[in-house]
Amino acid sequence: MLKVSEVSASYGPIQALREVSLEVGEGQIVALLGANGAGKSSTLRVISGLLRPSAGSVEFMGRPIHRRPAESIVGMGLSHVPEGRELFSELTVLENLQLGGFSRRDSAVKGDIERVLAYFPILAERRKQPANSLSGGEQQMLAIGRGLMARPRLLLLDEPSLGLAPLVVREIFGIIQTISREEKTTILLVEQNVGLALSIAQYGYVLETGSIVLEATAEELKRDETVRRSYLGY
Amino acid sequence: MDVLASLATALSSPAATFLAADPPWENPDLFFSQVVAGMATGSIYGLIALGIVLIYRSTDVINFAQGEMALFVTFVGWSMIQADVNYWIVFFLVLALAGAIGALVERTVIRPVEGGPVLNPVIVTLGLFVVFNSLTAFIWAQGQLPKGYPATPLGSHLKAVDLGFARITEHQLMVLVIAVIVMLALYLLFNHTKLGLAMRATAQNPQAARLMGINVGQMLMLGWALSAMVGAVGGILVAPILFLDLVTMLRVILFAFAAAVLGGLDSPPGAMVGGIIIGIVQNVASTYSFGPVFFGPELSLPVALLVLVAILLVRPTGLFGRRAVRRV
Repeated sequence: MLKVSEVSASYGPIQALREVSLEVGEGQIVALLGANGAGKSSTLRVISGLLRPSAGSVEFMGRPIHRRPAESIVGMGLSHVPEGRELFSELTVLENLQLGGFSRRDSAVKGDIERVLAYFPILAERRKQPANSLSGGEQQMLAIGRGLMARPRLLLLDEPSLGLAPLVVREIFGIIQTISREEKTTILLVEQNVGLALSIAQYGYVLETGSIVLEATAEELKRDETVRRSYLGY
Repeated sequence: MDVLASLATALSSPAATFLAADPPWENPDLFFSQVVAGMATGSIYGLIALGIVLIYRSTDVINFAQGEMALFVTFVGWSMIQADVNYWIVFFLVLALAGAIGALVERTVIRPVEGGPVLNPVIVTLGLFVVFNSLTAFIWAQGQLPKGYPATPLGSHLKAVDLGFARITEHQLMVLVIAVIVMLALYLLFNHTKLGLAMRATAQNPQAARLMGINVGQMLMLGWALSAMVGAVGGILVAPILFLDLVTMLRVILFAFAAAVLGGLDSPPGAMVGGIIIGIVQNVASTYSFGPVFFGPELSLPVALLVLVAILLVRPTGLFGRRAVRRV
């Protein structure tokens, strides 16, 4: 479904990615792991079109997308839930969800809002509230819900656990699994919490200073000596 | 002699021929007339302020050329009216021209300086001020200035209309009506259309807007077009009152900026309310004496600004402004 081939990218003089290649198959949850600053978010930014790669290519559903601007990619069915949520903080929950469906031309957007809210009952209660009045966990739920409103075939999730209490994180990861199962949405998940990510992913890549250093199934990664020592801490 | 006392004496008997009116309770009709007339003038400040706010809240740019862009297109309208084109056709052609100029300006000179040092767009819009003023001078100042611009066909600038509690000119009433229509149209656009929602989203978080599939460049261009159109309405409405001259807008823009700041700089309704407050204060201050002090028309302008400063002391972010919370 998604094929990233030897992508390099930089912010000005600072190189963020060096010949990164990865693949995500239909229906999978794939984890992209690594330490802070390893290039995880940059990889997602290249895929969703926010960052133009200096070399390499990105193919989505067999079509090259690395030269397309971000605003024309989401309509193809690729939704990016960015790091730090990036909600429209003064707009209401409902307005944020409506904007999530902006790229769609069909008339089912209204019904989809209810469908998405069904995953996050707490948001349904707060639908008229501005996004900045929500708790951290609720904001993350809204960010994911907004991403789902585009009816994506592929959902890019950047650090959904960031800054949240363990109980809330467990709830959100439960919902992510449900979405993957019920909506048949393919997910590329970026996480610093490696144990958590590998508990729901089928496959994983490890990034270090802008390069992929390891890739394997989630089971293999969990048993891998280096991964255990560097990221799982045992 | 006491300095304050002598100042008060000087202020109570100004050299000019203007005299303070009887106190409001003795002539309530005059008072309300002054207030409503102030609202009309204030709505014009408000319209120009609205243009400033629309641009500021989407691009963080203060457009100093707001008034001069409106002046230029109003002069174009004057030329068309000289050619006997129907008033309303001129009205909408001027609006269309203003929109096109606004979009063009954003596309060509604003976009390149966006995201750069803060002062760059300031210099650019100050430059635009000079460009539009000079262009206006070049094209129209060969003839006689100032030039008269007609009021709307719906209301003469010379005939008065009795509202029961106040008497204002027909044109002032039309200014109020048109200002309300503009506000209503903007409200509907921003709160009840998908396009308006996209514009608000872009103003708040352009990067997230792109991820939603919104073409941010188009939204900014549209914002400038809209702003220039609202400004043009202000220009067309003020021209019958102040006449068209190269300095016409200087007498408006200062109070428009005051109105925008008073309203909170990022609130469209705030801009309108701010404009109306300043218009009323200005009118009342020029009509009445306060104790022994009579400001008269000459000193009513600084009084209006004094009120602005006083309000900002109490509410630093303006009447409708958000507390200055910045995203990091």
